[in-house]
Amino acid sequence: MTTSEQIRNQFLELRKGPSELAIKFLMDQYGDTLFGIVLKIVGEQQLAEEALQEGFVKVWKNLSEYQFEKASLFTWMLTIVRNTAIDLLRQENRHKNQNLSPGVYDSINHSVESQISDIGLMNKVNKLDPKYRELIDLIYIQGFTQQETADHLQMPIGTVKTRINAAIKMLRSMLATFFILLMNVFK
Amino acid sequence: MNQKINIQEIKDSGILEQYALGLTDAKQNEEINKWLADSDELQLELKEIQNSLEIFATQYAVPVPGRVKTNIIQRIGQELKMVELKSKYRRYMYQGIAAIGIPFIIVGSYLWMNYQSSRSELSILNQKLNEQTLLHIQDSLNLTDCNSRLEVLRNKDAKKILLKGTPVSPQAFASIYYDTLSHKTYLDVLDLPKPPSQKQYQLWAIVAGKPVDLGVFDLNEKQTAFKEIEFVKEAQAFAITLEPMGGVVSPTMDQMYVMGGVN
Repeated sequence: MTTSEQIRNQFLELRKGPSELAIKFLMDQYGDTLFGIVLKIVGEQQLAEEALQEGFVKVWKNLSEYQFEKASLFTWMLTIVRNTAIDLLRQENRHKNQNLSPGVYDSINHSVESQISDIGLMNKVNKLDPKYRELIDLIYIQGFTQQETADHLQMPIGTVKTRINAAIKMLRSMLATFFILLMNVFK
Repeated sequence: MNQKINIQEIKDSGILEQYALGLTDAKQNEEINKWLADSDELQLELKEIQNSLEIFATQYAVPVPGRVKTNIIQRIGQELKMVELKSKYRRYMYQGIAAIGIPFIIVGSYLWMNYQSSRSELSILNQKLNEQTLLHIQDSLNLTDCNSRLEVLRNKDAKKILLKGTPVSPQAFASIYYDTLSHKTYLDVLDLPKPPSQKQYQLWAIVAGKPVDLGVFDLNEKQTAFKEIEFVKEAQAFAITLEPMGGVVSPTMDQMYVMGGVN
C-alpha cells in the first residue's frame, strides 16, 4: 500500500529533470486508469483520446504547481484530466445543441460499463454495495458536486454527505479484510 | 483541549474524506492542512483514504493506445520548441523594423517574406532537433540503465530470487534481482507460456503480507529481459499472475504462474 507514495517520490525526483520524462513516467503509472475514466465520462474512443492528450498537456504545463504535501498525485491529475474531458464533452454537446446534465452520464455510463467489465475488474470493489459505489463514482470519478449528486439521486444533501463518508469507510474496511485473507494465501 | 480527543473527533467527522474527494472549501483546506502538519496520525489516515480511492479508480483502467502516448510526448516536445521560437522571432522582428525604418518598407516586406519562409524551415528543423533530443535522452537513459544492471550483478548484496512454476505451469521460470542497497529490482523472465489474446502477465511483490502491484508486461525482449521494475522495500516474495489486459488491482490466485520468496 505504499506504492502511491513511492510513485510520488519518484515523480518529485523526475520533475527536476526534463519534463518529457516526468510526463512519460506519469503516463506509465496513471495513464490507463485516467484513460478509462475519461472514456467513461465522454463515452467515445476518439473524444477520450483527445481528452487524455489535452489533459496530459495541461498536467505538463502545471507540473511545477503540484504540491506534494496536499493532494495525492493521482487525485491532482484526475482533477485536471477529468475537467478537460468534461469541457470537451460540453463543447461537443454545444455543437449538438444539447445541455450537459447529470442525465447525460446515464446513457454514457451504461454503454461504457460493458467495455469496462470486459477488461477485468477488481472483484472486491464490485462487491461494494451499489449505492456506495455509485456515490464514489459520481463524486470522485465523475466530479459531481454534492449538490449535483443530491439532485441526481433525488436525496437530501445531508444524506449524500453521510453516505459518501460511510462509502469510503466501507471501501477501506473491505480492502483491509481482503489483504488479510491474501496474506494467508501467499504464506 | 486534549489533542488525542481532537484527532479522534476529526477522524469521526468525515472531514478528511471530504478533503480527499476535493469537496472542502479553501478555508477548510487551510485548517485541515494545519492539522495535517501537526499530526502524523491524521496524515496516515488521509493517506489510507486516498489509497482506497486510488484502488477504487483503477477498476476503470483501459490501456492507452500506443499512438496516443507517442502523440502526447510529441505534442509536449513541439510546445517546448514553439515557446522558444516565438520569443526569438519576436525579438528579430522588432530589431528589423527599428533598423530599417519606414522608407525601407519594401526591403522590410522582403525580409518579412523571408522570415516567413525561414520560420517554416526552422520549425521543421526544430521538430527534427526535438526528435533527436528525445532519441538522445533515450540513449543516455539506456546507457545508465545498462550500467545499473551491471551494478546489480556485481553487487554481492543483491539477491537473486528464483520464481518457480506453480501447478498451473510447472515449467514456467523467472528471476528477480533484488538489491536492497541501491534500491533496484530487475525482472528476468526465462520461460513463460505465450498468453492468450486479451491477457497479460502481471508482476506482484508481497510486502507485509499484502500484494503490491508492480505492473503488467508483454512477452517481448524489451519487457522481460532483465527489465528494471519498481523497487519496493521489504518485499517478502514475488509472483506473476495471468490477468485481463491492463492488469487488475488484486491478483487472481488460481492464475499464478510463478512465485518465489525472498531468502
